[in-house]
Amino acid sequence: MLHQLLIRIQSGVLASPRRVILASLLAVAVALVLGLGVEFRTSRSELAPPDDPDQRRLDELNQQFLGAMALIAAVEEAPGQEPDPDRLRAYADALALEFERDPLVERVFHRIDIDWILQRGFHLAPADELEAAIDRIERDPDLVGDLSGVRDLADLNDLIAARIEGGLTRASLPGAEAAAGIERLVDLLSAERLFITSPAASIEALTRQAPLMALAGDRPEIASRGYLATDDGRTLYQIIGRRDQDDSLPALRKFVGAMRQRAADLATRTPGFRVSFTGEPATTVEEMAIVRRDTWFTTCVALAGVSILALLVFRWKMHAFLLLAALAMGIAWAFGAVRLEIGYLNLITSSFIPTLVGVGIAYGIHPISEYELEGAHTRDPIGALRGAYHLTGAAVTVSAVTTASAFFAITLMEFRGFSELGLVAGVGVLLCLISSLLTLPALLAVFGRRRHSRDRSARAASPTATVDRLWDRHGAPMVCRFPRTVAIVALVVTAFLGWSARDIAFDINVLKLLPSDAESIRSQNRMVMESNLSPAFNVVVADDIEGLRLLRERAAREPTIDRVESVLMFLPEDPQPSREAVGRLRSLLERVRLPATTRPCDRERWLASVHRLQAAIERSAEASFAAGLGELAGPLEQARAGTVALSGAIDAAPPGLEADWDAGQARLLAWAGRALTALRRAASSDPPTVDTLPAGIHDRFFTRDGRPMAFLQPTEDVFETEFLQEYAAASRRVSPEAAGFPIVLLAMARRITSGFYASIGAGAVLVVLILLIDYRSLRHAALAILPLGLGMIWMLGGMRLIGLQFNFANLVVVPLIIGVGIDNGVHLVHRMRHEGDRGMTMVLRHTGRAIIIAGLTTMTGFGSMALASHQGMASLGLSLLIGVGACVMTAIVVLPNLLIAAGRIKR
Amino acid sequence: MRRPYELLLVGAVALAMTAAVAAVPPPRTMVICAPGFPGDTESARPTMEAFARAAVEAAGWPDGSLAVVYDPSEEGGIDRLAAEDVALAIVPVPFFLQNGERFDLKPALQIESESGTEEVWSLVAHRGAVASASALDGWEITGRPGYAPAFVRGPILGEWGPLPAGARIMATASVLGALRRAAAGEKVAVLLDAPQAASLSSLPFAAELEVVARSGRLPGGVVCTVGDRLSAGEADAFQQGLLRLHRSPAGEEALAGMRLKRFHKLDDKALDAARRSYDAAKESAPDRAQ
Repeated sequence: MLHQLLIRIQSGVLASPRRVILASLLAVAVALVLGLGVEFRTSRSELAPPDDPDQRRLDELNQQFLGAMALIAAVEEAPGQEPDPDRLRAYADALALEFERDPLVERVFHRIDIDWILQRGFHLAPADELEAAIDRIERDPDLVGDLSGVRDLADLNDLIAARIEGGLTRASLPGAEAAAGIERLVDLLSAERLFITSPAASIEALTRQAPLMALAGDRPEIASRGYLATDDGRTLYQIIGRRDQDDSLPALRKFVGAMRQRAADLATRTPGFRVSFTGEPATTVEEMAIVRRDTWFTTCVALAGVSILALLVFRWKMHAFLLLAALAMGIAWAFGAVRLEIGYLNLITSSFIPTLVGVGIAYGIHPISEYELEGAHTRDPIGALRGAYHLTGAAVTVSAVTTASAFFAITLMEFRGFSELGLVAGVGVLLCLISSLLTLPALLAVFGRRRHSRDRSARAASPTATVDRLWDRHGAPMVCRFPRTVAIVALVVTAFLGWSARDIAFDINVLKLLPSDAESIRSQNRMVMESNLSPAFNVVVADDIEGLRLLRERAAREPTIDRVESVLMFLPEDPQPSREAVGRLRSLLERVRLPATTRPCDRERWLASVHRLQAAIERSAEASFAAGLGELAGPLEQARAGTVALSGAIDAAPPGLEADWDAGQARLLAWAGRALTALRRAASSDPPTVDTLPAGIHDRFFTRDGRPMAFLQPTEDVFETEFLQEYAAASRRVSPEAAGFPIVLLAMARRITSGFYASIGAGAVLVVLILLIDYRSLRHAALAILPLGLGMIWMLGGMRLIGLQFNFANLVVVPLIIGVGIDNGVHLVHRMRHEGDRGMTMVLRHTGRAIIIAGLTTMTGFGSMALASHQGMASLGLSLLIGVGACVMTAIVVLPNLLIAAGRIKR
Repeated sequence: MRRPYELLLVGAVALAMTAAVAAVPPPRTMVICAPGFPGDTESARPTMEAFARAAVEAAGWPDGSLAVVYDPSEEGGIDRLAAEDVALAIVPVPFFLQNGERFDLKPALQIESESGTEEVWSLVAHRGAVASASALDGWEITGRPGYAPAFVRGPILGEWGPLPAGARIMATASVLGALRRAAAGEKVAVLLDAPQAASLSSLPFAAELEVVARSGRLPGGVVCTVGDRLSAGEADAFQQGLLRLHRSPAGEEALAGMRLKRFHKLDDKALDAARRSYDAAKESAPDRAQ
């Protein structure tokens, strides 16, 4: 019935080919008009289902919160510059101001007010710990009194030595506090040594910063002075929030471009710094730029490759152009049809054109190949065309319908990007089929008639190209020469690759899809690895502070949540106990008396004090090491080395420095007085409240409508699937309304993988049904599917062997290969049925030739993507290259030899 | 005049009191000797008292029937074991092998410290200075078990190779000081237990040192009865009590104070193997092994 229908269609086309061409061109015009109305949606949120609650929550969060999806600028000194943290911080402040001047920017968060925190630091310490510390000091009544007797550094050394000895005799179990104390002792000894060599400079270094800052030590948040920084403080980060919440590509491009321009403007005024951008907007813009560049490049490679191939393999070069023209018309119709199907293209569906180029070209290659073998215009072109379409039309139609069915099955995938690609590509395949059945024979007929009537020499030409003759005389017979050997080798290879493919994994790390040297990826990796500012975290929102405390309590029970960042970090747990503890501290500090004057320096006395301190440290280090407490013994050994260096420095100090030391000690005492005053003032401050928080902290941790948020920082990498599942579940247990990139990522992964199996199953069932209807033979249907099945195993095994994993970009390769790879088996079995007893070599001479040409052009089209720098695109191209190649091999080598070896067909 | 039944009652009460007094065992002493470990008898007293209370409660002994005393030196441990009231001891295996026969120490249980029931000793020397056991001629080998040279030559380093006659084995409580000397290039090799070896990398001069040999797994410390000063029933009750000591919060806390986790039944095979190796070292070099 299909044959009859196709014969009638061909008769009509060949009777009036010019009308068909005209109608095709008219259809192209209509399609282009329709296509003009196709909208290009570049927002990533368009890829999720419209009713996706996770995406909705994330969108709402983005409107409420400056953070997870914000642009992030990383500022650092240019290579070769002498590190100068103060200069870097000043530049960061200037850059933040520059960004904030831009009308696209709502606000910039780049530092917290560290002075504010230091002033209220006592209230932020847990009240019970503060009470315990005060208790410890008050249990040692001599300590406060002893301080008033510390009139020089020798006194200070003796005081410390006495405390260490006291700790040893009490045999108290040391802990983290002891380790921290020893580290401070190491710092102190180092400072004391600096004081010996240059007292003025060391006092200068101390007084350059506020006393509270100096006392707070070198903890990262203190060392960075409240700036968002890497652990080494060499890179500072700025979180830039937009006024506009439009996440379409043009909007993001405009925003990122404006910020780059602002940074460049400042760089011209103040050189010596480097600014790079990361965060969702920068990543998206950079990814799209890479994709665009790669698309142009790979398209050019594909077109050049396909053209060269077509020119090489077709006897008449014009046939290659006619083939591409017919394909172009089919694709133009498909583009117009998009308007009627869904009305828009998104980031994924916009790739349907390369897909159709790769797939649709085969529908023209088979008839043209047969047309040339039928003699083309060396004899009556119309007769040759009739013959060619008689032999290939049904197979082309069935293979296109099976391909379209496999593509339509992709619509079962929940991931909107892929499901819409399935619809658009499926319709496109059918339209390319129509083009190859109607437009292509019309074009060939017009060209053939003209050539046949005008070019007499063409009639005498050989109907086949040199390349074809090689295949015809040598290639096809060679394929079937060792059927048993080839069959056994093929089965062994299949078993091995099937075994290899068993644990191919799905990598959900979307960052790996971009080139590793992309600026945004480099910056983000550095941010994750070298700071605690990972942008990949979930956010929960509470109604009030009490609700926030509840969320924090729940989060503390979750092992996958490392820490909770919220405004609670800047508020006392309970103001009343905190007020009481700080009050006790205030009265303790009031009792502290510093000596009125310093004692003139005595070198010998100082040296003796250092020796006493060294002895005490040695005893303590020995006891710690003997008990296996390396965490204490190591720092104590450093402290001991510090005392050795210190005594060496005192010995080596030139005479006459005593006057400088005396002056330095007097300044040191004055500084201690100021520090004591600052401590007393801090101990007199009121506990911070929500109303008294600095604007920077408030903006960072409250939504625009005034609700407090908590950032649930994960303990591990959210791109590890198992961890991501646990972390997302934990976030949901903290609050069912938790939102964030990790949750959306997990949902996206689930949608893609869940629909994946359904689409493969549905595609396979549809393909089998169509083949059964066409062949009315289970055996022939099975034979047509066999090359695809083997090719899929080879592809998966090959991917595993070269270390290629499935990812968000290439997962669609499996349903795509079902659609593309089935064609070969369909054509081969059709031809076998047609040729009857004429043997496999005859089948391969005709259909094998077309399968190789179609396979090579498809591999060139898809394989060009393997050259992309975008890792997602490259992995898709490489997977398809392997898959298409495997399906060609299994169709023209494995299936024929299996059939010959089994005695089902003669050689 | 008292009636006869009253006299009888008084006599019965007196008899009962005598019997009760006779039933209370005399106070026993347990010596915990750990040569080279930190601390001293006085500072360890509260920890020992807590352990004694927990142990007698677990064993079902009367309150106050056990005193526990700690001594961080071999000599001190020997002096204390010589006292007649000492019925129990917890000692490291080198001490047991060296002095067990002299005091009729009978191993009953083994301890599990924070690093486990077994001990692995590491010999550390200046990087690149020692390639084999024979290279230690003229060297000082020091460390916590140095008071038992045959234990160092046999169980600890026997598998590595025989130590040359010129190697001097010394005990030290200043392991860190010895490591400092080794790092400075002196001919000193230092024996470290597993926690100390793990801490080695934390030292600033760790890069100058390397582990040149490691012992096999050796038993760490044993609980012994001393002679026949405990009856079989008493000894058994006490051992059973120690075996379940870690299950009670008070027992767990008392053990933690001594940096122990629990007690186990004795691994006879491991102890016998150590003893054979010790005896062989002692016989092969009796003058140097002592």
